[in-house]
Amino acid sequence: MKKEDSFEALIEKLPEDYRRLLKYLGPEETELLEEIRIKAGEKILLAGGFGEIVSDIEVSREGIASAVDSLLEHSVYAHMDELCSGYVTASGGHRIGICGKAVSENGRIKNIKDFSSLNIRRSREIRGCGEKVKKYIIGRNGEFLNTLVVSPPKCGKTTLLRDIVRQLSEEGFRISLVDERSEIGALYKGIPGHNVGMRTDIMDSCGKQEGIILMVRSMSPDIVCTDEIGSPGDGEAIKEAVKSGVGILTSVHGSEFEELKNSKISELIRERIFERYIFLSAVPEVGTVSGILDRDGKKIYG
Amino acid sequence: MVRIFGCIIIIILSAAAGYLYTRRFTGRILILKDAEDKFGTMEREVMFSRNPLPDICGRLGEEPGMLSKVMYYAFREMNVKNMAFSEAWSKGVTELLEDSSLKPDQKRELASLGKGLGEGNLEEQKKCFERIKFELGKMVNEAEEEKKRLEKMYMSLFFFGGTGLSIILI
Repeated sequence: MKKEDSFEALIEKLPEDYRRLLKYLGPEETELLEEIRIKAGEKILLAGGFGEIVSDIEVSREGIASAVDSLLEHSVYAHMDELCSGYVTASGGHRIGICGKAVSENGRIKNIKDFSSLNIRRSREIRGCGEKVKKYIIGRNGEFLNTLVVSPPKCGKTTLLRDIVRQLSEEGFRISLVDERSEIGALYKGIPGHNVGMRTDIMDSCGKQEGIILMVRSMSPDIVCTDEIGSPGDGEAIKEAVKSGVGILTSVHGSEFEELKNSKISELIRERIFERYIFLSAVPEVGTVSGILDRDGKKIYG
Repeated sequence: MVRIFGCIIIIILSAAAGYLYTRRFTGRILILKDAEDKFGTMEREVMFSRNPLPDICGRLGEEPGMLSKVMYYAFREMNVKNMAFSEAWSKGVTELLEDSSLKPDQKRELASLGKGLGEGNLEEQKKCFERIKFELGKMVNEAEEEKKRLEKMYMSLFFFGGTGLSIILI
């Protein structure tokens, strides 16, 4: 990762008073730092593999406004769409969750003001984490098998998807990545913040349904990848892609195969669109592949 | 002969002094029109491309014009010192246009134009640009009126002052 994309570089953008929060951490703890929680009227919290550390830095209303201004490149309007979804992706793929007073119109959030809290989440690439599943998602003739990664929240689903995309791209597959929440590729001013491979084209901040159809029509991919499907529209777009001969790599929230049969994507399961199901868990650690099933739900790993 | 020559020099110098003195009226208009031009470009980049202000200021800082140095200053202050645009712009105007031909109240108004830019959604930015356009338009009109009213008067004053002095000396 380039220096300017690092988490430390992001912290440098905070108001001067807040930048000293790294002094609360030793070198090992800095490496384990995952989140910085900034809330108006409270002290800054640091969370990560070391647990939680409460700093002595008090956050004022002006301080949080200044932090948001700085993190959003002094141009709130330029990040409005993301802001109204409650988060902004910074250079390097780090995610900044932002809370405040929502201004709505016709049921849609059109502005957020009077910022009250920030959650700065570190983004990491773990290269090689997809190695162990690669052989299960490539068929005997070298073809890609439509794959669904199933995982509860915070079990490393996005990190795994990212590495699978990178590895498949390096194997020679042309991949179209529909990155609705800018998490997988973390495109920032046209440059991916994470390595997703030289044959991967990224459509950033685009809805999955439109993005899948657009990419299938325009980029002639071998595989379309997207994260967290769940709506009927996503299912229809996936079926269209599969009909066009394009492979699908995606993910869904869940933990059991039976659960999927009654979920919003049950139609895709019934129609046997997916040929591989990769299940993740956080036991014994985040990113653990607890099992891989074939299209009939038969276990082939784990 | 020497006296006549001296008088001619005095008249020429006083006319030149008049010309230099009245250049400030033109200078004010040029600065304000450059501000109109630059904020106009900024508005288009914000409203249509949603480009961030530091990028816009960096580009405007490389264009010709009297306010380019202020734009570049703002770009640097936003990137290096994480200053908000309104503060960076105000500081830039105050520091870099101190010796310019602008009047103190014009400098103050110009420095305050950046207020609100970068701080809200596109609707709010549109209102900011409308306010800036209105304020700058007013300042340009007043400067042009002032030039029309006073430029010829001061040039004549200096010329006839020089002529009068020459006659007295002769």
